[in-house]
Amino acid sequence: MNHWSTHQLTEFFAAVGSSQDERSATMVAMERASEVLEAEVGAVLVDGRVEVAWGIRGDELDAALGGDPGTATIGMAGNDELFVASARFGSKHRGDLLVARAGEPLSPEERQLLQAMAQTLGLALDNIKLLSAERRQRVEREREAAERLALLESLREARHDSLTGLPTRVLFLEVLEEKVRGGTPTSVLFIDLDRFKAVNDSLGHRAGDDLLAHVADRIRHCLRPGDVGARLGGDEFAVLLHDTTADEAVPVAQRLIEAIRRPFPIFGRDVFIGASVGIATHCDTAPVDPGDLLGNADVAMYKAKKEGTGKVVVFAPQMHAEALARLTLTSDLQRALAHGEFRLQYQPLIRLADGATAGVEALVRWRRPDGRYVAPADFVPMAEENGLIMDIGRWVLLEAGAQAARWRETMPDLHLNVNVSGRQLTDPGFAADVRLMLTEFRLPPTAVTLELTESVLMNDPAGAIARLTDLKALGVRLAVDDFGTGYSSLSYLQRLPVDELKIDQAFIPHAEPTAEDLAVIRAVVEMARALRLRTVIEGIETEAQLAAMRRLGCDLGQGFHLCRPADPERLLSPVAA
Amino acid sequence: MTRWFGAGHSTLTDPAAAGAAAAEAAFEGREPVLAFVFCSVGYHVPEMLDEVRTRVGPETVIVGCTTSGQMTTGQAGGDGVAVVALGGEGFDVRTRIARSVTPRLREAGAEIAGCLDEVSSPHRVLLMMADGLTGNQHEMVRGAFSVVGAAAPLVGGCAGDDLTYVRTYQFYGGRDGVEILTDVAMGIALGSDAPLGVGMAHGWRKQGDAMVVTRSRDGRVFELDGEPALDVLLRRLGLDESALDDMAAFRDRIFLHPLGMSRRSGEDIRVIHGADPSDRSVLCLADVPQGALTWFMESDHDALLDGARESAAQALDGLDGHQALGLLAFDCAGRRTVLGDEGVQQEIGVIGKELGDVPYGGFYTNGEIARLRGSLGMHHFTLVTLALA
Repeated sequence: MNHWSTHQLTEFFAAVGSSQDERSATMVAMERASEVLEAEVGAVLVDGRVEVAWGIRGDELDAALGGDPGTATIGMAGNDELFVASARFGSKHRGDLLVARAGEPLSPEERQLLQAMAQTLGLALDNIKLLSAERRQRVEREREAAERLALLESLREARHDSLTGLPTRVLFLEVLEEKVRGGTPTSVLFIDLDRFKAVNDSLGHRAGDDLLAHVADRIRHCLRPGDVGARLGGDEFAVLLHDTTADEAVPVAQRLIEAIRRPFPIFGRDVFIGASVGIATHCDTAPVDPGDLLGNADVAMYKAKKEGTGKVVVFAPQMHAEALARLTLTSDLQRALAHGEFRLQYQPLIRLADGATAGVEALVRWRRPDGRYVAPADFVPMAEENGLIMDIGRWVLLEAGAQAARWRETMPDLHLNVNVSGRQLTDPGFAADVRLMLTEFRLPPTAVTLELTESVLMNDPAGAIARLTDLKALGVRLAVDDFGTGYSSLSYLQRLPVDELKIDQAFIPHAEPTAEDLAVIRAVVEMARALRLRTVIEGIETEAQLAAMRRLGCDLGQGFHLCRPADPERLLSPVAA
Repeated sequence: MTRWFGAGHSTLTDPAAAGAAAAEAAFEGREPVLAFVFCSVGYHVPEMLDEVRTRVGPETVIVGCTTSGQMTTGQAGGDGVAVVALGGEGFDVRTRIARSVTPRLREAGAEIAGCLDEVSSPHRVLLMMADGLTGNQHEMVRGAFSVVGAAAPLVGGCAGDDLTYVRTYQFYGGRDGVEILTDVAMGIALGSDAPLGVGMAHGWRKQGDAMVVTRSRDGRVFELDGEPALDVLLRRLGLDESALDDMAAFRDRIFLHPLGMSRRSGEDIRVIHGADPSDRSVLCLADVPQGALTWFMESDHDALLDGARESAAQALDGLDGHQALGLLAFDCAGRRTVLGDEGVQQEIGVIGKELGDVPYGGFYTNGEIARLRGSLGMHHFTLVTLALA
């Protein structure tokens, strides 16, 4: 005798209800029902057909039932007569739960239990249907959402910079186009970071990336909600200020510069950089290409950079001409390098004590096809900017090395001074170039002095010390060029592995040096002596200057009064003299 | 050739000699269709099986396992080898084996039941023998039932290792070689021209009031009538908490008080083999479904012996008046423990008396299988018998 038990029903419900799909629910239901009721056969019938069977093959049961679940008994080979009991399930009669038992029909209590089980099965199937529909919907929704997200992400990637989260040039130009069409004054700020490259070179790219992200944050904080900041690439940013005239934009640009000038905490240390800003404004309804407007801001920024770091320049139409000239210069420089339009002149360094020629300084000259000479001051900054200085510098090094080797055949003590630009110094291949030059022309390293300007060295003193140490390891000598024109930190000067100070000619502005002039130079010479540095005074143009410098104890001198820079073939005789 | 059933037993310690002696006693020079080899743990089994193999025919099926004791006509004991065999006309035997069954008992049960289809005799039974340490063996019976269905009974027992619960072995093969395996289930479809009778009885009776299993999972019972099961057990047995200090003694004590579950065919026994004081649960050897109506069971010597008589009588009854040829017995190892050595001798005396001069043999199991009515077929503390005519 079986016993009615709500616990059994609860367990039945739990087992059936936890099924994931209708088929496994009906399977579990008829298995458990036949076990609880101790029937030999269990089955679920749908539309009068056996869908799942337990204890007998489905087709055999189908045949035995003849499509009628109400059959009272069935007979099967190898078995006693089976007493059948069934109960409908589902609110709209989805099917029948059937059990069949040998020997004894179900008692009224057991029939009640079977009814309850069938009801339970019906409820469970309804739930499963709802749940699986919901699950399907959820899966579909999730798929759609994922697709949308992927699309947005891909759009975002093209239109937003992944490093800073700021819009890219593409998106910036789109927004800009929309704004300028509105007719209200719109200002574009073109921001270029100063000394970013030094950070990237000395602290690594990860630090550089970190710094850019911080810069982007600072820019964001300086903007009004409607303004747009963008990263154009590298260390260039742009800002769109809507409804803002050029005059109103300048203080914003200055605030931005101030914000960027504050130290950035990068990898546990404070990093200092700066920014230069160019501003271009569109303030009438005339159509303007957003790219042009951004280009104008770029031109203004270039001018700001030329004027020194941390400057703001508002675009003016004539700047276009300058920019155009710059473009021409760049292509001309490339051609000059390719066609061998550069040549070297040499200016001797004279030992003041006895007037002997101690060495020569190689000076690059550009002779244009029309025969005109271009002064280094007119093309070196551009070459520095576009990177051609690397190629030019390498050419200078080899050319001067070859010439020095030729001279040293007759004047074995002759020294060679070569100027090195900031970009060359940071070029990791530069030391190798120097070594190549030394071996190629069999020059003793001590016969070569590399001149670096004070501003190059002081831009990144720590990095400079590292690179100069590498060069010193080759055995060459190092000189600080144009000393006194930058802002040398004396503490760094002490630590720089240099051998020579070249005192800028600005220290002897008068043909007859005044007492003040001499006092300053004396101080420099004495300091150099204390640091065991050789001194060279540049720009000696009069006899009075020469005599004064000799008296002060300067080691070497250079200047028109001693000898003008000259082509090597013309220089041979005075040097020999 | 006439049909025959034989059982031989040896307690010799030399494995080869014991195998030879038991096989010779069982076969008496005849070629068996099916030979069962049951042996206690500790024998060098390959040597023992080699001696059995040399005495069978090319078609003979050899199956068997390690046990918690063997019985053969007139003898029973813990150590030794028993060989039980049948042969002659009208027997048809097919086998199937499933390996690495622990994680897939249901599937394994369905797999081994497949061999029954290959037997088309008028009387059929699926004998099942499996590793006795694989967990919820009810799942294996469920699996077999899903294939065999109601048309044929399931009978069998699970291999033992003298109640040490470490590892059991199963034997499967024939004259050319016998595999010695573990973690397998074997199906032996036995077809016969003459009727087969199944008996199943235990001799336990209800003690005290009924209880509903209000919370359980598989064989672990957490609550009876909404009260922690261990508390109920201690109270019913008149024990206090200190009884848990010596778990071995506690286990011996509760061994005699299994749970019984009400079935249409009587009470199904669940051995309680331990308790977990941390969650106040009691541990049974087979599943105790939540919602079941249950009693603590008790027995006495005479009732257990009467269970043996009852099982044998049921099996003979199933032969529809045909003369019995022999009887296979799957007796619970727990019954043997409770009865003791003397009681076991009395038990086989009772069986022998019921059978007259009909030979019998079998082993003490770690779980008995008998599905006759309904779809449940895993038992404990029970003697399952199969009579062949």
